[in-house]
Amino acid sequence: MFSPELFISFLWSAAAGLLTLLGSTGIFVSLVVQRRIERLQSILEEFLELPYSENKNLAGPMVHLVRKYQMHYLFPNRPGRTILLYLDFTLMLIAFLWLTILSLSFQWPIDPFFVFQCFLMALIAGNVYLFRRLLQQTISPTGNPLFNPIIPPPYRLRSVSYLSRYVNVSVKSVLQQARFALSITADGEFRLKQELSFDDFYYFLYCKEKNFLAWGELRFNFPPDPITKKPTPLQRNMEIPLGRLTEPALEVNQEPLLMTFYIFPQGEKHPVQYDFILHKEDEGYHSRPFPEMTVQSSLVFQVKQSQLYILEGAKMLPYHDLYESTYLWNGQRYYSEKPAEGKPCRCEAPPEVC
Amino acid sequence: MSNRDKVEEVRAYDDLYQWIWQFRKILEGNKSHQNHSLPISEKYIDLSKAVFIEDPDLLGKIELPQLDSVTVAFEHLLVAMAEHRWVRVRYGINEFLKVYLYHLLKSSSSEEAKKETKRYLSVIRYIFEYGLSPAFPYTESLWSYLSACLESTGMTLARHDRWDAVEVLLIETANMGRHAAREGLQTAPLQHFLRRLENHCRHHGNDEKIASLARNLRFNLEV
Repeated sequence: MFSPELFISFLWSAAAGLLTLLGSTGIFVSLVVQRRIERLQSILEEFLELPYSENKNLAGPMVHLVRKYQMHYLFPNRPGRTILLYLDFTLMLIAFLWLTILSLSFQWPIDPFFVFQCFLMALIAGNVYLFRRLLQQTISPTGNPLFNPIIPPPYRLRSVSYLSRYVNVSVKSVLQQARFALSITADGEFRLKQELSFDDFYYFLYCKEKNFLAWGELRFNFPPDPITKKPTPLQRNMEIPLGRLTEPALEVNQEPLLMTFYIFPQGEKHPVQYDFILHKEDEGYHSRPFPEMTVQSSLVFQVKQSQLYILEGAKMLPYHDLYESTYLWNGQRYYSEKPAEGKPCRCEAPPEVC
Repeated sequence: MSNRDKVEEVRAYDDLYQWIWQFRKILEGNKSHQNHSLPISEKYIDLSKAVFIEDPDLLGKIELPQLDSVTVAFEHLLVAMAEHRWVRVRYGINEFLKVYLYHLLKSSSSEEAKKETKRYLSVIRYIFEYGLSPAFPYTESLWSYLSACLESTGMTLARHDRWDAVEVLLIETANMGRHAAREGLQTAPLQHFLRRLENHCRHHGNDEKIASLARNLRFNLEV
């Protein structure tokens, strides 16, 4: 039988020893985590440097890098989980030891100072919990708010706003690889074609010949593959319906159709302007490859509380005043066949891969 | 303008016209123009055809292979390419594909069409491969020109319902496209062509096989 004092001091030293051991897990954590973060970040860097060689066709390498990034992002993190298990067990043991010490040295009756003591202990327990969370997030650095800014989830790599806002990357050269094209199908649907599915930007389209207007925010939502369960960060050959022309306007045969298409990425202040020239081909109209692409510096915009404000050059956007209130960053696509009437129609058709 | 300048100018034009004219003539290939005194033999031994030679005496004789107009024209084009004569190369390819289309649309046999398409497109493939070499300065122009020409060729064949030839053309073109994409060349025109062909097949040809082939090739162009 130990004397109570000796036993309590033994428990103290055991708890302290366990805490020291816990401190040394830092080495394992950094071993596991550092390698992974480094790998992910170097792929990310490679991806961001790619678009600077502008005139090359980089669609293939870009898709490849996003896939590689996703692979490293999704890799099973077994050592991390084992470390976390040890961590949890040790912490529970320490908490148990502390509680034992406290209950052994508890003295009746309760005096007012006890409340303050309880408060301090709750504070310490809270802190222990916070540090456990920190360690947990460090051990599995993917998909948690702590590490998202440094290693974003793979789907963020298709977001133009993310790339322009947090990463200083030339939007124009990224978009060049997306290879935008416009077409009007035989039944009068305006379609935007993307070779690589970049999203998260505001667009504005105007066709003078047909007096057609389309605008909205483009946002994709690719669910994970139903069979393989793998997430889909980037798609190839996307087609996004932007609006629809009805019979009378469609039948008038004009050629070529000139279309101006603006892209407003959140992190920029000047939009990117595309000048598409569409020719009649088979039944519909198709734009020629490699449209003229410029950064339109006479237009200045700003996004405040998910609303797009045109600060300068609003005259360049036809019927701007009529529709300004609908320039919302809410993933909706609008169009108007008779823009002068001020009645926007919603485009409900979903984007598709084809 | 002095008389001498005029002569120079006429000669400059003549040179080019002469070349294109001659090239077209070669392509049209009249066998009777061949030199009959040469020992051209149908039994020419080509080792690449995995032949087994029993009689060594067969190797002792000088025999010449039977060359066709396509091979001779190709030789001509290669010289123009080596000299970096872009205008000649450009019109040469154009005439080449035109003669191919002419022959194909005139003939009716399906087997023949496949064979002819393979023969002509293998030459186009060689030209493309030469164009990728760093020694050739107009790599990008050549590729975009080839894509444009192949698009017109393919669409013409599709309009005339020569699906057997379209199939071979598609596969060969996509092969070149994949190679081009690996080299960082633009494939947007080719994608457009494949898409157009797919639409055409679905709406007119009722040829689901070619449509799905075109779609599949389009999706795998840059993977």
